[in-house]
Amino acid sequence: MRGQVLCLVAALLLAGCATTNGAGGGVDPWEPMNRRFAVFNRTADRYVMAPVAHTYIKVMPRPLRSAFTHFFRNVAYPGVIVNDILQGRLRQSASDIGRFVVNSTVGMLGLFDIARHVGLKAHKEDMGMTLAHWGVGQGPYLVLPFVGPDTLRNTPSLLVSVVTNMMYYTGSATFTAPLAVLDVINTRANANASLRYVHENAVDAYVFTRSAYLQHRNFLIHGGHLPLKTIEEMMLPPMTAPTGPPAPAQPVPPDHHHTKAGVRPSASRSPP
Amino acid sequence: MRFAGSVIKTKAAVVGRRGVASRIGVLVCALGLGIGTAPAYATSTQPAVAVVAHFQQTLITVMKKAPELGFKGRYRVLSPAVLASHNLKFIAQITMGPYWQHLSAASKAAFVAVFTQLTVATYATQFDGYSGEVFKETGAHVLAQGDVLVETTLSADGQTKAVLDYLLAPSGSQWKIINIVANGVSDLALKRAQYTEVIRNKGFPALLATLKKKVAQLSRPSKAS
Repeated sequence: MRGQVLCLVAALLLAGCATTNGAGGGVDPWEPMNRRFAVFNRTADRYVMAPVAHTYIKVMPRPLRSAFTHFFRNVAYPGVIVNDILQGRLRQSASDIGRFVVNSTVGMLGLFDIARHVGLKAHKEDMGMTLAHWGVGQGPYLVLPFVGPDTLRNTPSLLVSVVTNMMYYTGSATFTAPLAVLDVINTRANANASLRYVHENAVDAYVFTRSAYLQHRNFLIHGGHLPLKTIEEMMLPPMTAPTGPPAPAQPVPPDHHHTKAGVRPSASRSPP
Repeated sequence: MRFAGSVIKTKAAVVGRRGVASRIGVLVCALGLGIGTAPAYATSTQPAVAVVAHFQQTLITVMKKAPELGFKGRYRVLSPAVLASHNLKFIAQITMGPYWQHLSAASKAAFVAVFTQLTVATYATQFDGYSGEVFKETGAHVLAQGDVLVETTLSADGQTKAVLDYLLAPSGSQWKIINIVANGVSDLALKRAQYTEVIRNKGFPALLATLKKKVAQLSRPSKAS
């Protein structure tokens, strides 16, 4: 299913990849197209996925949903191992191989996360993070139909995640197809709290999702530990200001989505 | 273990640099040369760590009593705690990006007021139950501007659920939170990106109205759980 989505996305991108300068600037040159896909995804979620996920949550006990989550993460875990090796993280790959073996055997095909209890913690690696490790630039921000937020650099992950998922090697579509559907529903159910947070708190859901997604990807690429310099730069506002009053429409200050080194308004610098 | 080790090494390096810088600073000041050095007020991370620890303890207390307090009770308890630990006026200013300087004093005051309400209401909504969560400090650093970064984790069932980094800066005689980075996502950057987008497309009055609507939505009786 993800392979078909990739083909659809490629066609849509080629059809509408004229670069337009939305307010997203450097990180989101295809913003008009992305916004259309975002609206499509929200509509599809509201009328299809959300009702299905809510029903799933009501009828499926939490321990069972948790077991399914562990199972689907486990069958996809070879993808993490492959990317560990591609990034040269050999010690981590050994740990992840151990985790996969323990959970697949003692953990009953991954239904139970036994590996966590013996110190084999889960890691998150994908092809996008591998490409980042190799120095490939992030590329434009993307919103893919059905898939959601992504970046051009991360799109190979869609194909790699299918190729490395053990679920697609059972040799039986009769067995794989319902599992794939269950995977999608279970994933949507797990995302319920996050999506509700966005709905409740976002002032601009599109900008919220884009900013949060890109920042979180950067966090994962740095192994869950941002460099101090990155955190320092988060506090520095853009240097330039717009040339007129703020309402109703304003020219976009340069580098709106990138902080620059500069002077930060004083938060009161007197000593404690 | 690797993470803890890197934090310890970083802390040792920062303390070493600050110790030397402080001695040079004293000498330079004594000589009246006034050459810039590392900020003298950031001599210890402990006061900032204490602010975060106290605030997180308040969150845990509220979470444990969440059902009996309800939204209004949580808001009432959290409001002074948030005001005491966060520099909300400064945060509000930063979220407006370059548009802040174009606002009148009345508009600035109105924005800070609704931003404060929204911040407390968000905390009261999000921390609405307890399942054995534990906050743990994992490190503290002095940053280049003299601010302090306090690193913590939020865990439950022995698993780390979130990495929460707090940035604090001095405000008068106290250290106050000016940004929270949750799993790599800066709350300040998130708000700034959204608010400036709304101002650019719809204007400041529309932003103010949207934030007031958000506060009202969060405060609805269905949220009083």
